[in-house]
Amino acid sequence: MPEYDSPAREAAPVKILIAGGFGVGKTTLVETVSEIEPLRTEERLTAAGVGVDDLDGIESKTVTTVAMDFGRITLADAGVVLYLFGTPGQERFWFMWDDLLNGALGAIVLVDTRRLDRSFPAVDFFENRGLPFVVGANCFDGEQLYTAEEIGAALHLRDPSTPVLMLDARSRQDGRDVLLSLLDMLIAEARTAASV
Amino acid sequence: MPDDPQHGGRRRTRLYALTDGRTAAPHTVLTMDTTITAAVAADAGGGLPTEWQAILSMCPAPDGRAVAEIAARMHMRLTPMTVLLGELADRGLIHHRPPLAEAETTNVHLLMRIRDSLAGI
Repeated sequence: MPEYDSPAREAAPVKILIAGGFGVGKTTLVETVSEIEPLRTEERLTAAGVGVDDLDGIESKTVTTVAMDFGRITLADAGVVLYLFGTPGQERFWFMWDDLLNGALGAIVLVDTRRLDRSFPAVDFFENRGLPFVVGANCFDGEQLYTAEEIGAALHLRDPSTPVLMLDARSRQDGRDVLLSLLDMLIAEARTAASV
Repeated sequence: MPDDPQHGGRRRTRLYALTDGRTAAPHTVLTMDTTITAAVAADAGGGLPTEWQAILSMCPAPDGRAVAEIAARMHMRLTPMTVLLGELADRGLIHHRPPLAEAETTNVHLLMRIRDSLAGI
């Protein structure tokens, strides 16, 4: 446990993950709501034969460099600085990376309904790790052919009450609304847990 | 050997140079969302390595900067940056504030404060 050596008046950092497949609008969403230009940081991850069915019993080792774009929102009234991390696409490496999930409030999984399968790994990962998330369907060209119910069903969400929002990742109001939806869900869960 | 094109012709500074030759892991464990605040002025005492001074001047009190943000602005990967910052923390040059623990992130009152602040952005 790291010692706690700062004065209490400093804003506490909290983290929300923005996940989803490649090209689904993660960085755009971060950019829309962040108070700074999105920054990029890299991490090198090693996974021993992750996701590889190697029948020969030969150890295979894979090294990959993952990049994350992130931004921040200072919420002075709440005494926190919210960091929004756009997670890298290589989900099979995430489980090696405890730092990614530790301390995260929750996640927003962005989906593109034309390429829904690209967001399956993120949904699976958060469901398995028990990190609360909401789904944001990015409406490219301002159109959405499907309803929230249809998208939720197609994603096979383990919890059918998981909120599914339609959004335009370029809209600040939409970005704020999807964050508020996540917070509403977290508050409801915290209330339920407290009353048990 | 050709210059590294990613770094504008500069050679990458070796990590052992940045950590003053120490190779053992620092005692202070930092995560990417830990907030770093300078405990001393960047030019305090003089003689600090340029990179250390750059970090100190990047995260003045009271706001500071997250580890990930310092790494991005210093063009370093996360792991080397956490090692370097851990070294600075061990020497008392920086303060660090860890991200909220689970007991706090599931606190209804804190979540409601975050929600209300977010609604105003």
